[in-house]
Amino acid sequence: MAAAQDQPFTHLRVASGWSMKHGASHPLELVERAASLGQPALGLTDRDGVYGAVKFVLACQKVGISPILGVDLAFSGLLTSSGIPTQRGVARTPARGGAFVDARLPRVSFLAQGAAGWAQVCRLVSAAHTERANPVLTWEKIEEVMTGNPAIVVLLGPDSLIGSALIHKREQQACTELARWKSLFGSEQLRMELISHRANDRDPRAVSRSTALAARMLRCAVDEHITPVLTNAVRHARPEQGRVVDVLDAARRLVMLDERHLDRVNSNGHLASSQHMAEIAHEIADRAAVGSTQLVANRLLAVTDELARSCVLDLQGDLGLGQAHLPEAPAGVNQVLRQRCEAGLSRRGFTRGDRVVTERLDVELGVIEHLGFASYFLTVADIVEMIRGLGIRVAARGSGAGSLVNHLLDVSGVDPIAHGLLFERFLSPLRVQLPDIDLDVESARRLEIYQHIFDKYGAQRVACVAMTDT
Amino acid sequence: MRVEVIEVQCREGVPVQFCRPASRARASRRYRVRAVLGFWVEGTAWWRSKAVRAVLGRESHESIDTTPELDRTIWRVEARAGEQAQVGVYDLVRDGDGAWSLARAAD
Repeated sequence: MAAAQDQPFTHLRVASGWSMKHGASHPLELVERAASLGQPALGLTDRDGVYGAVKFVLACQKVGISPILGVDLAFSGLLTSSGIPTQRGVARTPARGGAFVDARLPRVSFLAQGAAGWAQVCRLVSAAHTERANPVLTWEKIEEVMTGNPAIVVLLGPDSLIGSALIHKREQQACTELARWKSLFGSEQLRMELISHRANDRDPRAVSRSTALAARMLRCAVDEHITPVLTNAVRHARPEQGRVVDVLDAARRLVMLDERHLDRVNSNGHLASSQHMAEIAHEIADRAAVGSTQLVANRLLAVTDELARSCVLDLQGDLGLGQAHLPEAPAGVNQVLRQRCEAGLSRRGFTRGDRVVTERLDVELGVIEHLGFASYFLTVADIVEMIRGLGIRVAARGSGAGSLVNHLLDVSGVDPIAHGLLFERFLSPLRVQLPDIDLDVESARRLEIYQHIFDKYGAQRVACVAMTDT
Repeated sequence: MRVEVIEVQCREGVPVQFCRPASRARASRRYRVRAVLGFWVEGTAWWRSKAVRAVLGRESHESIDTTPELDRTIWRVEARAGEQAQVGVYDLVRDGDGAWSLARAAD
C-alpha cells in the first residue's frame, strides 16, 4: 500500500505562460520543478494553442524528463434534452466586461499519442482557430478532423459539459453527453478527468475544484465504464505564484481583482508533489465510496501513470524536432530552380558566360541542392511574384540579399556580386538551418497578402508565426 | 467580522478538540469534536492585504515586506463543550501561518 504513495506522479494537465493570460509559469520552470519533485514525465496542455511546445520539449530534453503534449480547447456544442447540439449564446454585455471578453465556454483537453496523435492535436488547434481571435471547437470541426483512427486521448473534466452536468447533479445529461464522445473517439480514448484542489463544494465558484465533485465524477466514470485520470489542472509552478494567476484572470476579463471574477480558488493548482497527489487520490476515493478507499486510490494513480506512459513523445520520431518542414517538391525541382535562375541572368543584366557569376551561381545552387531547400526558394519566389502582381510593394531585407539566387529569382533587388555580399552569411552547409528570407511589405496591406497566400496554398500548408523572443 | 482566536488540538492533522478563551460573557470552554463534516481550502484576498496596500501607498511603508498569506483551511466540525452540552456546528479556520480562529459558531 505504501508503494503507491511513494510512486512518482505525472502531471498531465499543465498550463504554462504560453496559455495567454491564463498560465503563470515558463515551461522551463515547470519542467525543472517536476524534475526536482522526482517526477519522470510532464504534460503540457496549454490553452488554445501549442505555442509553448518547442520550448517545453527542449526544456524536458535539457532536464532529462519525458515530454507529453496536448491542448486545452474551448468547446461549444451543448446537447439539448432532445440530443441535438445547440450553440450556446454568448452573453455579450459590455456593461459587465467579464462576460464580454470571456465567454467561459466549456473546455476539453486532448493528449497526443505518438506522431499521429501530435498531428491530430495540431489539426484540432487549427480547426478551433478558423474563426479569427475566437478559438472554439464544435462537434462539426471535430468530426472533420478526426477522420482516421484517433491517436489522441480526450480528457473530460469538471470544466467540460459533463462536469457542469454533474455539478448540477444531472447524471442523465452527463451520460448523454458522454455517449457522443464515446461514439466519436471510443471509450478507450476517453478519460474522466478528476481534479480536486480541496475547494468548498458549497461555493458555486469553487465547486468545480472540490473533492465532492471529483468523487461524483469518479462514480459516473465507474457507472459508464470510462477510465478515470487524476490531474491537478496546474496553472503555476509554485504555490505563491497563485497571485500571478489571479492577476491574469482579472486581466483576461478586464475587471478589477475581486473574488467573484477569479477562476483560481486557492493555491492547490500548482505543480504539486507526488505525495500531495496521492493524498488527493485517497480523499477522492474515500468520498466516492466505490470500493476500498486504498484500492481505488491506488488504481486511480496507476491508471493515471499508464496514460502518462502511453503519451510520452519522442522528440525526433514523433515530433520531428530539428527537421525542416519544406513545401512539397515535384521531381526535378533542382533543375527548375537552375532554369529559373539562368533565365534571370540576362534580365538582371549579367553577361552570359561571366565566370564570376557562373561560379557563384553554381556554388549557391550546389549548397541549396545539398540541403534540399530548392522548393523553399521557389515558393518564396512565387509569393514575391504574387505580391507584386497585387501591386503591393515588397523588398527582401537582411541576409537574404547576400544570395545571387534570390536576386535572379527577383526576390531581392540587390546584386550581391556588385556589392560584395556574402552568400555564406545567409546559407551555409555548415549551418543546417532553414534560411530565413525576410520580406518587407506594405504594412497596410499585409492581411490582404495573408489571404492570398491562404487561398493559393491552402490553410493546411500555411502557418502564422510570431517571434516573441526578439 | 470579529475573529475569535482559539486553540486547536489535532490528531494526524484533523482537529479533535478546541478551546475558546474566556470572554466577558463566559469562562473559557473546551470543545470535543464529534464529527468532521468537511474541510476545504480557500484562497485569501491577498490584494487587500497590508503588503499590497503599502505598495499602493495606503498603508505605512513598513508593511511592504510582509508576505500576504496564501490560503486558509476551514474545518467544519460538529462539537460540544461537555457531555451534557448541546451539539453545535463550528468552522475552525487554520491560517497559512498555522494560527487558528473560529469563523462561525452555530451553537
